[in-house]
Amino acid sequence: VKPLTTNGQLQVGGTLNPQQHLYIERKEDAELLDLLARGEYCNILSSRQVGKSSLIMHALLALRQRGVRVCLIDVAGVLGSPASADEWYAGLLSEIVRQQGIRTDVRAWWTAAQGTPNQKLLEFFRDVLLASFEQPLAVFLDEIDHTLKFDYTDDFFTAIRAMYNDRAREPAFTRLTFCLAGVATPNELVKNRRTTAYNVGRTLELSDFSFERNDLTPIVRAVSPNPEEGETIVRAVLNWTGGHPFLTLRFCEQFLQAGGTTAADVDRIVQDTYTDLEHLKTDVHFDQISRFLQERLADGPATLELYQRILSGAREPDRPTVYHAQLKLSGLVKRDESGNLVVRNRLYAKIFDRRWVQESLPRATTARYRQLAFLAAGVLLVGAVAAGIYQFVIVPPRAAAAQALAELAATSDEATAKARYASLTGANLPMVTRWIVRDYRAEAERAFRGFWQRRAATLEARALDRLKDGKVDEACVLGAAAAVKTGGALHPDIQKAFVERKFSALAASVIGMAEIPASTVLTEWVGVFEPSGQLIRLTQGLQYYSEAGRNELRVVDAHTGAILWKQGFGGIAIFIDDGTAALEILQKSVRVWPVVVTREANSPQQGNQPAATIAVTASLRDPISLATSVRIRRPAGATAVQAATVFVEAAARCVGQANVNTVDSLGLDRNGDLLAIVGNGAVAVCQLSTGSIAARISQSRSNGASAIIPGPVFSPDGRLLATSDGQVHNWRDGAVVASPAGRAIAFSADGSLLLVSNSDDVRGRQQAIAFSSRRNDIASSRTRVLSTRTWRPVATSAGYGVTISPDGQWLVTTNGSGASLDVSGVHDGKVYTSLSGTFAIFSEDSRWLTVSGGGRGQSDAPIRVWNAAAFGGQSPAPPAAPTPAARWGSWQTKFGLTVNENDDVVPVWRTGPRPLDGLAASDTR
Amino acid sequence: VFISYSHSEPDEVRLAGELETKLQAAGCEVFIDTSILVGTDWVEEIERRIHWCDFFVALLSERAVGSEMVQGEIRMAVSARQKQNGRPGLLPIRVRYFGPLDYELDSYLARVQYVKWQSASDTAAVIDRVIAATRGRQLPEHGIPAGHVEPEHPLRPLPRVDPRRLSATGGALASDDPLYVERTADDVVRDLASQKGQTLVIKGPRQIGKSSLLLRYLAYCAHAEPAKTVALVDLSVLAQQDLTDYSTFLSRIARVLLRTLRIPPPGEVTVATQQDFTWFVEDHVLSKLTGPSVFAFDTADRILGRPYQSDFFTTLRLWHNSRSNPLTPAWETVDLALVVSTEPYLLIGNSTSSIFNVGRTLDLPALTAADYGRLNAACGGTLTDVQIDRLWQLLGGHPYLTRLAFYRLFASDRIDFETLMSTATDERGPFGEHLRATLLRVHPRPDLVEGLKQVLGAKSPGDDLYYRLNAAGLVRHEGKAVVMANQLYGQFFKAVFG
Repeated sequence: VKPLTTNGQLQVGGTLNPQQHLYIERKEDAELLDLLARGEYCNILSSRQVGKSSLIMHALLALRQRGVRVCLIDVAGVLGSPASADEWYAGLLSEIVRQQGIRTDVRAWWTAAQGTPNQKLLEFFRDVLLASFEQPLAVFLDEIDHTLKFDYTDDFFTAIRAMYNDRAREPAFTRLTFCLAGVATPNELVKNRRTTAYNVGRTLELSDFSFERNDLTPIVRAVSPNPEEGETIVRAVLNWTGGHPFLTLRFCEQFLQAGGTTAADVDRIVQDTYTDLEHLKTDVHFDQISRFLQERLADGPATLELYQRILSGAREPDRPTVYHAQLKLSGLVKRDESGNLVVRNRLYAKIFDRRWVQESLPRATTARYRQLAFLAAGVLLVGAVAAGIYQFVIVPPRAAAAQALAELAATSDEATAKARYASLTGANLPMVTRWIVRDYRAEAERAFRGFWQRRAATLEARALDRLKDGKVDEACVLGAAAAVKTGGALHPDIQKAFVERKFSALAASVIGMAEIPASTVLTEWVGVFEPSGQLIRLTQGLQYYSEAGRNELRVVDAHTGAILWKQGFGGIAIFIDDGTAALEILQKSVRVWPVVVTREANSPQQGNQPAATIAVTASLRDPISLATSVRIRRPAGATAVQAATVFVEAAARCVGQANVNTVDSLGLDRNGDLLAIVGNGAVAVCQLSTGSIAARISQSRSNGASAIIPGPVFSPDGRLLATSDGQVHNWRDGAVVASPAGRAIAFSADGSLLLVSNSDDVRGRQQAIAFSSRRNDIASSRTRVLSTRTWRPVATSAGYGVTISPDGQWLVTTNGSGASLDVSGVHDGKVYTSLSGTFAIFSEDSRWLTVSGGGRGQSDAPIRVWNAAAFGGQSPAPPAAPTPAARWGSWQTKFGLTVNENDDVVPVWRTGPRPLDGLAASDTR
Repeated sequence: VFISYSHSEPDEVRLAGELETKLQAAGCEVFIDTSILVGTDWVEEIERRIHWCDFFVALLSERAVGSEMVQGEIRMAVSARQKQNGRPGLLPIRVRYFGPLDYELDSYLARVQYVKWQSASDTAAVIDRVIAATRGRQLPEHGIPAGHVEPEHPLRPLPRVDPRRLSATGGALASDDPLYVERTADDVVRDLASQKGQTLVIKGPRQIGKSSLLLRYLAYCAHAEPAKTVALVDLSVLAQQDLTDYSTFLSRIARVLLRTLRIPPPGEVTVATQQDFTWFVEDHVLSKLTGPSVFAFDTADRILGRPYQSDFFTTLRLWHNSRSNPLTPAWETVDLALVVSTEPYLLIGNSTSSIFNVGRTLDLPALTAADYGRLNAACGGTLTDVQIDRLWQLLGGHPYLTRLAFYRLFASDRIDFETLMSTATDERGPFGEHLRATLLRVHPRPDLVEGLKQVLGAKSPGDDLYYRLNAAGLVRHEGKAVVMANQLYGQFFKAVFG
């Protein structure tokens, strides 16, 4: 039996040659041709392998026959991944010129031309390209999603949009049409959130094959010599593939290869071949769908939950939100005739089934925890940020926007105000179509400021009341809250009280924050103080590195609010140590920035130079793991910059010696001397002080580990290393001392307990297990007594492991809803309480548990500090609902959450006489 | 000085011994591997000594030229040389064999000078030359004749099929090998060769016969009607420095294309970007060809892990799609073929489009017990069905080991079936050299070692690790479980790592 690919008629995968292969026409063929012939821009942005390129080829030929010049560029295959923007632009333009048979040296022209890339592009199209012929030109750009990798292609999209908008003024542009094709939404193409998205052109959705809409004779003929039998077979195939072009053709090919002759064979092939994702891992088609879901979703959990609802048959109308758009783009769902989303075909429903969603959800949620973990658990920074930077809000239509504005102007509730404001301004909402609401922006700003002023006035009044009652501490907190929230100054009486009560750092912070415009979403700011309370160091918009290019580190004078130092950065940047140095972690290098503040300086931008730029031979897959684990030893007499430089150089040297291409993750021991580098399936343990590799451990990547590979965890004494494949190694001699089969999350302070998370295969659930070690002394060969430890599980809790208390009493895990945490006792495995939040850390003495992050969509959930004694201690009976020891508004959390061990950095709540208890009664709300 | 020689060639053993004595007398420290130990200690010692030595003496008899172990040591020496600024120096001694070298060795040694040893009477002079070389003098001879090695016996397998045979008369067609086992894949490639505009991906573990199948495919292409011009680029013979960055890599490929197609280079060939690369192929290669052609890339997964990996495969995808593009008619009759031992999904990376999404993939399976029956019949049919089954169990259908077994059973140095079975894992047994060479190849990669240990301990390695082990030909799936590829490997590696 000849496979379909070789019978010269049907081709499975890849672009079809309309002159050579038989082609199944769809209504989109006529639509596209019609639009392009009229000079409209078109976007064919849909999931993989649905026939985009073939559709283009078809249109291209037809246009050429009508006398239109055509040009087709596969931007991935032609341009690759150039190192610089200029190379990309010159490459693109020279390809166009070459295809049009125009002889001109584009590279020279590009280098010589003046202006921004945007201006140069317009000039090129108008004066060079369109001037050399009179016919219309249609430019097809295929694989356009390849540009998502680059941060320099925005100019291109804004330029081609400008050419469309300028047609009235510049008639040459009416002869120019663009058709973009790829796996992206138009909104994603322009990456800078401050620039209007690519909003021109008609976006076509490609339909799947069906007997009703298409002439499927070629397929019928290919599967059987008997047309009637053939149609029965193809109908059986469509029953599974839903007419998905690639799946259908490939299935028919498999059918023939498997010697199929009847429709019954179709079901047999499905049962044999399309069992589950694990077996289809090497199937590129399914692999690409899983990859898309793992890597491209803006909000994994929310999108997967939407899919889950669709899968269970709920009516989900197609709506213009990020989740809906991305789910369609993944290919898993499509819109049916009545405008609802449905799973695209039965094969997908079979493979990406309920069980698969259950397994994927925790993983997607974990990805978000880690983003939070970076923000919340920084050992370097005092402070944390509430969940929110990665949240997405559905953009309301105009009526909803007006409604939101009215609510914002009237509300006195902080959460409502922030939510409405965010929905109107789209700050931090990368995928949002902001032009819809831009008309409301100025009003929203004004209303939001008004809200804070109202709030501050109330708070300040309460503060002054407390002051009169002699409750000075509480007055200070309330007064400070008022000042922070308005961006105004402290009330003079409150300021006096601050000085009296020696709340110097807090006072400084409040004054320093005063200059931050109220409209800035405060959850983005993280501060560090000098011991004197003089300086506050801020980093704005700590973000994952893919959001590069719009971040800034700042040092603000605490008294005047003047910006004394600032530095834009790509990647991730963090202040380290006492804040006199900062690390900027880029893909293949790390820069050390000295943070030198001249008080007289008025111009903060003057000539910042990195103290060192240290190349790292491997790219960092997960810079967050580095950021969370940096803990730098500072030798006596060394400056922070020197210490940081020495540290990074040693680390880079170790990475070089470890000889890995991509560092998956990193782990540092408590003393900051051992660095575990994970990459290429192995872990290298390096000693930073000597710059040498002390041991190598090979590691199997844990099953299903995808974008997120948890970093390795050292035991507190540095002797053991728990790796993400579920092995605990005595890394010095390579012995595996325990195989808890799960990802290590944390050790307890004495190293006797290890929290791991794993998937329970039987029930398809996440499980967190605490392993305890018992010491066994065994007499050993000749010389010495070896002591080993036996590890056994002592407590198990459903959910993903978040942390374990340093004293080994408590286990914190996510619970099923994804919006709250369970606290269970290690000694009995019982759940003692559930706390709303997504991330938690214990204080060093295990007395306080700080919980951050609200449920999904709650971007500004308060961060609460819980008194662990209230969970019920060792007592067997769960106590009544615990009350938080302190309930902090979002601002305090920045200063109060993390205790840095380095006493150079003074967290606010340590400066008061009895920090937490003293303020327990104050609810700043 | 490190002396590398074939333990099964008496002349070499003797010469190596004398070299050792004389070099020591001349004040050199000499490492010579006379051990019969097999184990991690032994491999570590070899690795360490190859990096330690200043000079690497390779004795090249006809047998050594086809020996996996000698190749393994020379491969290691060449890679040490690249890492250590030209240390060790390579000193080949041709031992009564002055013909062409094996394909892989040729790529390492073609431009290296050597000395000749004809008979015992040359020993003294050869040793003097070597001693002089360690003091900075050059060896006298150079210019190893081009061409491929014909095995000394038609049954004896070479570690790797030699693509240069393609240019020999008749090409590498099944008819020149009485023991070639035709598989269904042969029918597919024969069929593909007769069509135009095809993309073929051949996939399978190491030594499963991928290159051999590719050669057959190319030979069919060359004999198709109309005949296709064949360009074969083997990435396995590129030096490390050819792979440093994308531009260097592409320039190198461009030059190889010109050379294999015998197109005079248009001046200095350097290619800066992949766009230039495609243009170069259009302007300087396709324009010089008349009629259909096929571009084949053997060991295409050599660039696995390089930053430009997915870009390169995206380029090939562009070529594939250009066939259907009426704007680029030159590509219409260009076929593409790739050979990989890795799962394509590892090669795609984050790329949005890749040649592996579109080509026709042939997954090469191991030989079946029925194939063994046919081989037995071709050799005279002296094995019983029970013996055939035992042999198949032992070797798991590994094509190279199978040929080796039949060679030892029916051709030179014949041994009987029971001896073969009982000495299978011995260092001096019928498969000893292959096993040692395999260990030498595996040992420097801790991930593979760890994975093997897991499989030996009846644990499943992670998917990625499985695919790496599988690509190396070491393990396979049996149902859901991961097991060693054959009993021979199982017993051998259990002894080594157990």
